[in-house]
Amino acid sequence: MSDAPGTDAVQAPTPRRRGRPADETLAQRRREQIIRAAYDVFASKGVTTATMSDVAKNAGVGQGTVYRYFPNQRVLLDGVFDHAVEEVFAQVLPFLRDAHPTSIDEYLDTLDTMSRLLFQFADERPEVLGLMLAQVAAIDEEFKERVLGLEAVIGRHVASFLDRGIDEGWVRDDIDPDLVGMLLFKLLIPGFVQELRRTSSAESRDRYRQTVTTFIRSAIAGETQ
Amino acid sequence: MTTDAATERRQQIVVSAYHIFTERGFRSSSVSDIVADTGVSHGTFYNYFSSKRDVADAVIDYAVAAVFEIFARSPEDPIESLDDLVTFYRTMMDDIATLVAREDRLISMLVFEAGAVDDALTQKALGLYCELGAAVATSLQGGVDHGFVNPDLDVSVLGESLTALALALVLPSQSASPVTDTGHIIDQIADLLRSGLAPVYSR
Repeated sequence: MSDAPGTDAVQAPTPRRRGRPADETLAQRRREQIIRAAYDVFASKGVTTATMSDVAKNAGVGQGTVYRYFPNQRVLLDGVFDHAVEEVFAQVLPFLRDAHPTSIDEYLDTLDTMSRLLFQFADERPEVLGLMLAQVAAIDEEFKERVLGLEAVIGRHVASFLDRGIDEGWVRDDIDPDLVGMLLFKLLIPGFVQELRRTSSAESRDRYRQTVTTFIRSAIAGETQ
Repeated sequence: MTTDAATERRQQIVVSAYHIFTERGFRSSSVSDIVADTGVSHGTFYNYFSSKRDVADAVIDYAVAAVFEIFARSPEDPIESLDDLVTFYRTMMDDIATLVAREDRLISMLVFEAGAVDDALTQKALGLYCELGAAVATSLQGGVDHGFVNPDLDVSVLGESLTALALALVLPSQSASPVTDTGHIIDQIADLLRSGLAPVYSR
């Protein structure tokens, strides 16, 4: 994202004023309120069994209001999913953008921090992960691609660090960075499955991170350490 | 009808259901679609299965069995070195790639459709993944015992992680990823395994 002056001003929250809020702000807040409610309802009842009226009730608004923002359940699901993706990105991407590992150790630290951020997110918002991986993913092709697309974006970041590592000699030069970036990210998947199954603990997470780190170090380290 | 014929008929229904579910999605499929594909009557269908949900169970079992057959196989030759172990994993990966090429919807059924049915089936698909991880962990433990796999690695963790790596072979490849050549993927995974699993002192 650009730091150019002016870019931020557009999105800066308008100063809080008393009285009736500007329509746009209200609409935005309503939208978010409904999406949050839909999260809860979809997560607890399942996407298939949840109804728009459940969502309205949970959001504390009338059904008509829900339909005004989301004409059908499918559009609402899109909204929920996009929101979830944004949340995951917001958790990880700023960190990945600012990361500039210059050695295998720093690279592993970067991966470690990334997975810690994702774990933390999974911990705080288990319903988001559940929706993304199990239910929402099952809806249709487009959703599947969006889930896989999210993985691809993170994988590409991991790959771009590998590119640099190969140039600088701390990653061996006979690997295909794009493919291995994607593979390394896949190594993290079991951690998230454990979160989903609620079988993880602080101890199992540590063991998990330690083993994956040890493996990756041996797997990709170059001559220059 | 003999038991064999019954078993065969049941299997035909399962295979039809598998095709219908993966083509249309579980929720948009009906028992009518399945019986039309199998060429049997509704009555026959209900002799074997009580509902669409019931046959979904059998479909997942079918997909699970196909995948498990590959992972749970014992090596033909004893594994006595890291190279043997990597070769063993390579054979597995080749077989998975062949299975996926032949039945490209199988994984979609396991990974995506199972979640659409209900939680019990999701757990079943996840259970398969855990069993696969455990099978890989067993072979890794053999390597640790023989001293050719790094003992600092937690084999049960790594078993699951390596199973997840194999997903690269089976998930519909991301539109963003240019990698589609499974031979290349297998080469790179084998290469990562060879250096990643080696005990630190031997490198």
